[in-house]
Amino acid sequence: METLGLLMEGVAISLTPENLLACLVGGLLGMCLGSMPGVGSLAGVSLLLPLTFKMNPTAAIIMLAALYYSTMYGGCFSAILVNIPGDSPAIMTALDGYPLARQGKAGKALFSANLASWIGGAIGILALTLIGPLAAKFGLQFGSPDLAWLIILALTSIGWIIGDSPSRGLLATALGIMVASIGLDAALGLPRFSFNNVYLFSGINMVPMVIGMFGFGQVIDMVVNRDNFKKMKTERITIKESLLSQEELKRILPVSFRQSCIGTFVGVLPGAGATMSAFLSYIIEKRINKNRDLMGKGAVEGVAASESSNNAAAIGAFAPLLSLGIPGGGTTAVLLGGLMMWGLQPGPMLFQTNPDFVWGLIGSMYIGNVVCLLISIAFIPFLANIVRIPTGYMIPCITAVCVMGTFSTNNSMFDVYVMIAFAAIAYILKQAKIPSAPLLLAYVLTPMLEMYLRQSFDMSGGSLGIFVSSPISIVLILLIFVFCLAPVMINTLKKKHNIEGNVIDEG
Amino acid sequence: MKQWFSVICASFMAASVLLTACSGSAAPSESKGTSGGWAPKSEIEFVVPSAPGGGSDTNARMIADIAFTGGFSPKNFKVNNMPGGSGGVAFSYMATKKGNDEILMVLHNGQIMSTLVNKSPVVASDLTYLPVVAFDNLLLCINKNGKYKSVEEMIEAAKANPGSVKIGGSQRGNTDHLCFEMMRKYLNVDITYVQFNSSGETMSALLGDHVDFGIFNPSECVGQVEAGEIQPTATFAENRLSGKFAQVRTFKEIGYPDILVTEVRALAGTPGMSAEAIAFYDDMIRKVTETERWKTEYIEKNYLTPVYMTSAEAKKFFDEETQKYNSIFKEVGIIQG
Repeated sequence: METLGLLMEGVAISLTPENLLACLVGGLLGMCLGSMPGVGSLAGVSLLLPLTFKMNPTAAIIMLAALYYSTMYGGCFSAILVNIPGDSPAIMTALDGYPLARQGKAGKALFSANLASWIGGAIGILALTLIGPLAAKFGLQFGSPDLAWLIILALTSIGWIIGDSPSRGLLATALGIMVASIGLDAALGLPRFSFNNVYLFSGINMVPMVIGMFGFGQVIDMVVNRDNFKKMKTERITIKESLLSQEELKRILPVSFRQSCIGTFVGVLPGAGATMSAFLSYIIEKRINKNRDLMGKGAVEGVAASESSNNAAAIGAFAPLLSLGIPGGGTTAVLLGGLMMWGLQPGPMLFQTNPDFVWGLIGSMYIGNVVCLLISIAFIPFLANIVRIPTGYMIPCITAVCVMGTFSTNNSMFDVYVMIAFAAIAYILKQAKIPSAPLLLAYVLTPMLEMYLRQSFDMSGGSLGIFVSSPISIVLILLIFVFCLAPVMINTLKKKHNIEGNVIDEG
Repeated sequence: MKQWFSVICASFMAASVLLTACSGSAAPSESKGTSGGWAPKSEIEFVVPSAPGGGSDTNARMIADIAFTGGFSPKNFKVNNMPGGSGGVAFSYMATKKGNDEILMVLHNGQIMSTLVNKSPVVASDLTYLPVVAFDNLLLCINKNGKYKSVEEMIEAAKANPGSVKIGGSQRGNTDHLCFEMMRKYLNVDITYVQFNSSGETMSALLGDHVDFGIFNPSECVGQVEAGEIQPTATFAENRLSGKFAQVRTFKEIGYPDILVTEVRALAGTPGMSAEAIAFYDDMIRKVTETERWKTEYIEKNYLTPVYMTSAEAKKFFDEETQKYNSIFKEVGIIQG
C-alpha cells in the first residue's frame, strides 16, 4: 500500500505542466530519432543530455526516460516499412514486419508493433513499480558463467534462422564471428584481423553494418529486381484497415504478455539489454508458438514478440539504475552520468534520499507509455502509405537515409564505406541463398560471449566446473537442451509413430 | 501520387533538420571565445576511452559542461565514448585524426599503462599531452556479506588455498590491475584477477558475490558504501582519505608501504596538435579548474585531489611516470623484455 501511495504522489509530480511537457517532448523526439536508421536510444540520450543540465532533475530524467522508451516505439517504423531497423533492438522486428508490409499489411504490422510495445512498456513499468529493487537484486545473482549460458541460449536461435541448408547457415555464422573479431580484442587489447589498418583497430561498428546489410542491401535488390517490387499493393491504407481483427488480437496478446515478462527480466540483468531481449523473445516464440512456421515470413506474432520484449527491457533497465546505481547497458550508463551531473548520488539510497525524483520518474512512465501509443497510432495511416511510394522514388530516398544515418553517428566516411561494403556482401549472400540473419546474430553475441567466458575462466582458474556450479547455469543449460533437442526428438517420435502406424496399416 | 511523394520528401528533410538541430541547438548564437589566438571552429569532439558512466566519462562530461556553460569554449562538446582494448581503441582513433585541433580526449594514467602493457600500436607518448586536472585514489572493497573481511583474512586464505581469492577490477594493465599486481607482489600471495569491462560490471559482480574483493575509485563506490552494501577495507593512497573514507586504513598502516597507486586524470590531444590550440586548451582547462563549480561538484564530490599542470608540465610528469610504470610492470612480469 505504501508503494501505491508513493506511486500516486509520483503520478501527481509527473502531471505538473513542466514535467508533462518534458514527457511529451522526450516522447516525440525519441520516436523521430528512433525511426531514423543509425540513431538509437544511446545517441538520442547522449545528444539531449547536455541540454538538460539546467533543468530540474525530475523534469530532465522524465524527458530522457521518455526519449529512451519511445525510441523503442520508433525503431519499428523503418524496420517494418523499408526493412531498415531504426536501431538494433528492432532487427528482429524487421524479420516479420517487412514481409507483412510487402503483403500490403503494413498498417497491421505497425499496429501490432505499437500495441505490443505498449503492453511491453506497461508490464515493465508495473514490474518496476512493484518489484524493481527486488528484481535488480536478483539480477546480481547472474555471474559471468550464467551470462555466458544466457548468450549461448540466444545463439541456439541460429539453428532455426539457418534456413534450409545447414552448411550455408553455418557459413554465415562463421562470417559473423569473423567480422565481430576484427579489431583490438576486448580482454587483452591485441589486434585481430586488422592488417595494421588504423581504422580497423576499433573494429567494425554495428550501425554501418546493420544499415548496409538491411537498408542499402535492399536498395541494390530493388534496383536489380525492380519487377518484383512493382507488384506491391497500391490502394490507400486507412486506419480502419490497420486495426487488428479479433483473431489477430488473440494471436498477439498472449505473445506480448509472455515476452514482456522475459523482456523486463533481461533488461534487469547486468550487461544485457533490449537487443538481446528481442533476440531471446523471438527465438522462444519461434519454438513455442503454434504459428511458428509462419514466423520469418510475415507473422504478427514475430513483430509482437520482438517489440513487446524490447520495450519491456528498456523499462527493466531502470530497475538496477534506480535501486542500485548500476547501469544495465549503454543508454542507462549515460543516464547514470546524468544523475551525477544533476547533483544526485546514484546508489541504493536514491529511493530514500530523492523519492520525488524516483517516483516522479516512475509515475511519468505510466503517462509517457500511453502518450507514445497515441502518437504512434496517429502516425500509422501516414506511415503505412510509405510502402505505396513507387520504387523509382523510394531508391534515392532510402539511399540518402542510409548514407546520412551512417555518417552522422561517428562523422566518419570510413563507416560509410563499411556500410556500402556490407550492402554488397548482403547482396552476394542473398544471391548465394546464404541467410544474413545468422551473421548478424553471431556478430552481436559472440563478443559478449567471449568476454563472459574469459571472466569465468579467470574466476575458476581455467576449470570448466564453474559453468555448472550455480543453479541458474543448470536451469539455462536445461533450457538450451530443451530448445535444441525437443524439436528433433518430437520429429523422430512422430516419424517413428508414422512408420509404426504405416506398418500396422499395411499389416 | 506526386502529392504523396512530396510529403515524404518533406518529412525526410524535416527529419534531417531535426537531427542537425538536436546536435547544434546547444551552441550559443554568438561566439564568446577568447579574443585573438586560436579558437575551435566547430563542435569539439570529446573522446572518452571507456563506456559511459565511469570515472573518465564523468570527468569529460564535467569539463565539457563547465567549459561551455562558463563561456571558456565558444563551441560545445560532443562526448564520444570509445570503450575497448583498455583504452587502445580510443588511442588508435586519436592517431587517425592526426593534427585535428578540434578533438580532445580524457587521459588517465591507467590507459597509459594499458597501452604499454598491451603493446598497442599507439601509446600515450604518441599523442599530445594536455593539462593534468586531478589525482584520484583507489580503494579495495568487500561485500558486507563476503567471505573475507580484511586484507589480513585475504592473505591467510590465499596462503591456505593459492589462487582461490578473486579480485575484480575493470580492464587489464591499468591502475586496477596495477593495484592487484602490487598486492600480489608485496603481500607475496597467489591471488586471481578477474577483469570486467567497466567498474559498473565489477560492482555488479561484487554485489552478487561472484568476486571476493573489488577495486574502485571512491566515486565509483560511494553510493554503495553509504548504503552499507560495500565496505572499503584499504586504500592504495599514501595517506588516509577525508570524509566518509577517513576510517579506511592505508596499506602502509597494514604494514606494506610499497603498495601505493594513484590515478592521474588529464587530457590529451591528437598527435601533432598545433601550438596555438594547445595554448587555447591550457587556458580553457585552467579556467575550468578554477571555477567554484569544479571544486564543489567535481573535486569534493568525487573525493579527488585538485591539481593543475600545464601541457608542458604534464609532458614532463607523464614522461617520468611512464618510466615508472614500465619498470614496475617489468618487475612484476606483466611486460616482458
